[in-house]
Amino acid sequence: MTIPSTRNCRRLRVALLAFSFIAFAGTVGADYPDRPIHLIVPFGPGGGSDTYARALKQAIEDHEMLPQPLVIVNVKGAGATIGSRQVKNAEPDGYTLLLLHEAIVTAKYSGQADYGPEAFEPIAGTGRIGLVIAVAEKSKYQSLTDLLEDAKRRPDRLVFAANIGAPVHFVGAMLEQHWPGARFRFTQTGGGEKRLNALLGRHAAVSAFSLEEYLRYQSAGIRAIAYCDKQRAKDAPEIPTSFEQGVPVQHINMQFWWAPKGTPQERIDVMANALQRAMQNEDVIARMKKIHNEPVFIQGEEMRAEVERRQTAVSSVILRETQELPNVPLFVGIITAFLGVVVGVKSLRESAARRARVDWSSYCVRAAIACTAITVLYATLLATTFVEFHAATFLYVLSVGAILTRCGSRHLLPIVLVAVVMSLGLSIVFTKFFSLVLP
Amino acid sequence: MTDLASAFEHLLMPWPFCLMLIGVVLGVIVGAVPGLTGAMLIALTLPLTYTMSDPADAMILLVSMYVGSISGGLISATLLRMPGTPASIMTTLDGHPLAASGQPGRALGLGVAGSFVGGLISWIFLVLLSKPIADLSTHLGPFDFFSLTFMALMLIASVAGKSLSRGALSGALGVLASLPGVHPATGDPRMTLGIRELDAGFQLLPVLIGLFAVSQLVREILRLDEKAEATKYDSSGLLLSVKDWATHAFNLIRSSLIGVWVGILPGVGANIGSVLAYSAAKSMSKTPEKFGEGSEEGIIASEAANNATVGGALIPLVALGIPGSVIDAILLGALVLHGLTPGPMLFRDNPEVVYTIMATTLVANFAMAAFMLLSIRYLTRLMIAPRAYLVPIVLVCCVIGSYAQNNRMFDVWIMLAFGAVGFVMESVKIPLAPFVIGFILAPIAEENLGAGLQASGGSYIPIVTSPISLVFCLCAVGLLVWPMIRRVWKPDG
Repeated sequence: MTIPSTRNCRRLRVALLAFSFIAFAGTVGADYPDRPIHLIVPFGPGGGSDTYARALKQAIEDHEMLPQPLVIVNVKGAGATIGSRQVKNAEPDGYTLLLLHEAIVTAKYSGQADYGPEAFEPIAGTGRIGLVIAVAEKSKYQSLTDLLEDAKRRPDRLVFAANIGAPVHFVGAMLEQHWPGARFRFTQTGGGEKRLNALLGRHAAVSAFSLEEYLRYQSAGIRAIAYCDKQRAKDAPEIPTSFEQGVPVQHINMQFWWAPKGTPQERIDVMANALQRAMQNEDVIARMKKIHNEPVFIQGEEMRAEVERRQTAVSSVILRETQELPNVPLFVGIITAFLGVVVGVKSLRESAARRARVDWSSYCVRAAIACTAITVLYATLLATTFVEFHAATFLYVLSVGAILTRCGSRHLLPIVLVAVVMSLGLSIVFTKFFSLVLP
Repeated sequence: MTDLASAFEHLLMPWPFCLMLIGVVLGVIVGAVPGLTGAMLIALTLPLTYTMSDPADAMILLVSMYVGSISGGLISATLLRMPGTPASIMTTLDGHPLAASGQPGRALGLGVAGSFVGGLISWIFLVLLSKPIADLSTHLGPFDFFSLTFMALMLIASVAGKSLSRGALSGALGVLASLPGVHPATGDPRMTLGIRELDAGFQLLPVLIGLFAVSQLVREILRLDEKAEATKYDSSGLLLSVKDWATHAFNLIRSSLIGVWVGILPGVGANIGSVLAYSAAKSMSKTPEKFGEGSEEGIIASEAANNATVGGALIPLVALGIPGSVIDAILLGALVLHGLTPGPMLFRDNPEVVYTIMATTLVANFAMAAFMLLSIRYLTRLMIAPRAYLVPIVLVCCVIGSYAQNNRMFDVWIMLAFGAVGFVMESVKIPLAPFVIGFILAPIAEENLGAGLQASGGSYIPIVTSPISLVFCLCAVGLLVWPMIRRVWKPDG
């Protein structure tokens, strides 16, 4: 056995030190968080959930409720399941969290996801805003019972503008459930503005809106017939509740905060505390008032019970299969295949000489192939997160630049400069200026 | 009108004005540099606007880029004989011969004047028509929207590209690429091959960046050895005289109107507009033999029309939420990203955004003309910037741009894959534009068809009993059958 040289020894010590730090951080929650926390919002930027998250992020950062920033990462699509799945599969270290409302439950029961709230650790629930059942201003329905009675007399006739599989659809199904015999015709309409349009253009008889949407759209010519809660809304006390009208349907939207299964309880508490303080913050309260959202906060057992209650409510509703729709993929496939054959035959009939020949030995062709390969390699490096963004980008720009300038020494310096600017400059501009997350 | 006035006021404040200038300057530069297109620039800028708190500012930046990029192409078309953007292909035909014959200043001056007037006339239509069309659209039911988008799909098949079958194939492939993911009307996942990441389908931005940017860059590398020979620039004749304006007035107005009309039609972009206006100018000209040899009328027709499509194509975008061109599809994405739904509700809820778009179109048009006249001398140098620097920079932007939209590497792979698709398609001479339009319009058509069927209880009859829908359907059938009839009549035409 040889005695390690002093230099090696120092290296070893540094490595050990680093390792012990990691181990330390892993076991004790006191240091959490020591780097930015990524909050996955499974909807696009600018939507309701996104603005909500950004409002709280602002308060948390302005008042230093967490020692590290909260980075909002939008991962939208497929009924929020792309984002929620990302968190579900994330490392349970408290650095990747999810903000997702009722849709975490409805996605499970409408079949969009094969998991539900049980796949996550609950952190907290914040905010409270109810759903309003509304009809067009000139509609003949004066009350919820009018509407449901008509839906019973003429089952499957009244069009309910919905977002199929989403909470608005579920609330309609719940109304049917409490008025035996009533059946709506649910129609895919989309977001709030589109549902409003459907009512105004008399393409639908009824729809549901969040209280905030309703108060915004009211003047366009719609009228609320019920607020789906036990008590009337503070901001719109003139709307009778569904309970008053003998239809015990409650639908309150609440934002839930989740961590991957197996996240240590201490870390969940750190985050929950920060949220609790944020919800008591004056700026947040003022902002929530503006969007008619009550700044409530629940955690622990209370939150579990709330989620459980929602699961029961949603699971008891049966969503009927909507109308049989044409098999578009089949038609498009046939048409594409047909056109493909036509074009193929045509181009075969064109004389072969007119087709451009590829000269495989030319430098340009080789450069193109090399650059394509390097690009794929670059993306792979970024995907594995083995190499930092700056390093990978620097190497990438350098190598592609070198190939394209034929490694001419005259171009070496400018290429290096461009590479430095691209790697460091871009990462600063993007992360500091635009607060985007780089690969 | 007061809304429009306050939008102008907002636009003239320092920060928005700055954004507008940045947009126009970048747009013109990108338009002028062969290989970089406006669609590329706007697609890559879109992720940067996520963090702008005011969606109106984002639109200012993107719309100015649109205006700038459509115009910038004329510089390289005239001096390099290489269209900087596809929209200025027709300008190349006459702009370069005129420049080569010793009048480069005049050729450019005519182009700038044409662009300016085209932009101005289309702006008037944008302001006058958007609101009435938007109001009308409340009355459109799901079947009406279906028929409208269906007609637009037929339109791309019949006008895009030289070959009907290739254009149609491209459109069909685009429709096919839009299918995987969540069913637009029921929310059920389909055709995802069990890949969970594909549950959300192919996202517009990676597809666009791949098709237009990546495939183009590979092509640029292949052309590494080609050196563009720049015609020497001199500025005489850049500004037109009163007499010139009078001579070309009719041509300017006619070409602009053609551009506006082509712009309004969904799915048909600036290149078709300039082709149509050019052929109209040629057939009405007293000196048709000069076309292609440096005809002043040709330059004017092409440039007035391609700029006029900008305002025209914005009309269906703001009024109906249906994009009139590829760039408008990206603008539509930008609006949606900021939580705005184009259509009548946009006029009601966010009039400031709509009127900002309108105000920007006009002011950017002035800024474009001024900037082009002042900077043509320097732009000509930029155009021959070595590709070696350009290509890696843009490629890195492509990777970041596709990643940033949804924060996942999957989109980067999609982008690269569609880069390959775009490259192969262009290699076998299948045009790319119909692909994108099919990709964008198909989900709109399918969602509305599904919604219509859900509302009618599965009956297709309302498609032909609703008068609006019937008109669109008849137009669609006409568009499909007409080119075939024409072929049978004139097999050699």
